[in-house]
Amino acid sequence: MSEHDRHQRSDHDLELELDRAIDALNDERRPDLTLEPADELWSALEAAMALRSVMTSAEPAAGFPRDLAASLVTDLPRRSPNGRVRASHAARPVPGRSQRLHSTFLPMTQAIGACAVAGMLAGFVIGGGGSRLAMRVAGGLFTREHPGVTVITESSDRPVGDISWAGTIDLMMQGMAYGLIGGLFFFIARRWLPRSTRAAGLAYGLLLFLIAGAAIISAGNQDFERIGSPALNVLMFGSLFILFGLAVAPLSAAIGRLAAPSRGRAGIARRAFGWLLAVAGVFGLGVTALTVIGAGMVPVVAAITVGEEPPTLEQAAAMITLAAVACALPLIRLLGGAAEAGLLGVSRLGASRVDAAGRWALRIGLVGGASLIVVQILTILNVI
Amino acid sequence: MAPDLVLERALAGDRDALNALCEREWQPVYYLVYRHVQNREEAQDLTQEVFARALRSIGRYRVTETPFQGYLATIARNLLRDLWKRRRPLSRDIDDEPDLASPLPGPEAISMMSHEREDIQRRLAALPDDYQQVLRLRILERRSSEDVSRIMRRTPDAVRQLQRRALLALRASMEEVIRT
Repeated sequence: MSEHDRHQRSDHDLELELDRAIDALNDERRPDLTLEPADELWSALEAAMALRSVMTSAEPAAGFPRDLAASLVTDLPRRSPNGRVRASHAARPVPGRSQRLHSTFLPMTQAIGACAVAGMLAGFVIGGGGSRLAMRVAGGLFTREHPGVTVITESSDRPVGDISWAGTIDLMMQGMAYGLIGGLFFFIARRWLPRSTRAAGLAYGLLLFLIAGAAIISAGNQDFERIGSPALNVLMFGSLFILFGLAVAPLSAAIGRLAAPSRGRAGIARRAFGWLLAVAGVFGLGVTALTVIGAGMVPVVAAITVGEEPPTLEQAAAMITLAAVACALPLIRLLGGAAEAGLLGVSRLGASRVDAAGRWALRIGLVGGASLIVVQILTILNVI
Repeated sequence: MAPDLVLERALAGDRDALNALCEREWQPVYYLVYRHVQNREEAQDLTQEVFARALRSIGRYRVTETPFQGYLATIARNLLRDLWKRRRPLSRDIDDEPDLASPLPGPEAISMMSHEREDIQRRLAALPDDYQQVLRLRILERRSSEDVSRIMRRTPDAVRQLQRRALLALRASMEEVIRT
């Protein structure tokens, strides 16, 4: 290519870029320049903007003040316990795209990691240890009421009251795996939970109980009815969800604080811990995604290859609703985060709409899950 | 200075008060920003950034004892200055912008803006005819380059080339004023 051709080509590119920028301004959009912002391009674009200023300014989108207020809720200053507004930080210049990427995705993956680790710890102790304790109480009640009777449990194929270390450790590991999912879901739902850690934990526990309770408290598991008191069993296993929520909220906050930047040697350790958390977050997300896909595929494959009974219409509807919400929420949450940082070319006001979409997805999940758990509990208690 | 009850209630987390505050204050900020970025999308985003910065640094505002509108205006100017520093020096000085002490521009500001508009229109009228025509059609009438190419009976590439030359000529004419 000759020097003349190259020059022609660059002029042509510049004219196309300028033309696209003018199209964007005419459509009331932000001109997104892909070429290096050459002086000539800026000069021409500035002239176009100056010329546009002779026209009346475009009105903002309908409902702009309301959307503006909604998007500002998270920017309200935090108050100290004595009610005073805490010292503020100085206004910073608008960061560049790579800076925004760094300042958004690293903290986001760290927050995911903190919630994943907190979920695993809480799942190990409360999910695993707590359910072992609940089983012990139910088994104790059963052996006291029916001395000398041996019943094999449905969940472990072992006699009631036969507690082994291997079984307990297995249960705690299962609790940890469920806890990972619970921790990640806490990260997703945290945005829509109350600000206070304790209230968020309680709300999350209740939310988890209503959405995922039916996975544990299932009328299909006969142990709930025949071992111990059905009502006490529902209460014990149900309270594990609340306790999980109450534990995961402060734990994730505490773990997140450990990665907060500081100076000196502690700063290096914190930074390293921050990166570890980020890796844990990405790893946790990957493992969970594969688990969820795998768990969804197993019954389908089994139904096709082994010829098992397909789910009923109600079960299928509930499963589809929950699966849709489970897929939509993380997507909305991540999109919301990226949009807020201006990484998608979506405005922060767009992010508030994404936020509202997330709230709706959560409500739908709540109604779908709650209807499932209510049916399970009423069946276990022999009400229906 | 009398306490701003709406602001106080908004800061205390009252959503209705926050709505009322935004309803009361958005106009001057939005139109100031719009004048500089000339597109709705960016103007809305920057207006939101101005409010977010104001709320995040509310402690400093209280010390200054200026009306909240003035505080928002200062933040808006700083934000625009940061924005343009990252792009290139602006032909129009942000510090010359009319003050936003009141929600609507006062007589002096209106006269200044109207003078600026007249000046740009005069400079446009001084350009060669085909330059004027392409800028009127493409920018003031917001037509697409394909439309303009049909009206002007030129190829789209020729229109884009003409448009670039016309804008650079207008820019050069505006720079003459700044230099003098």
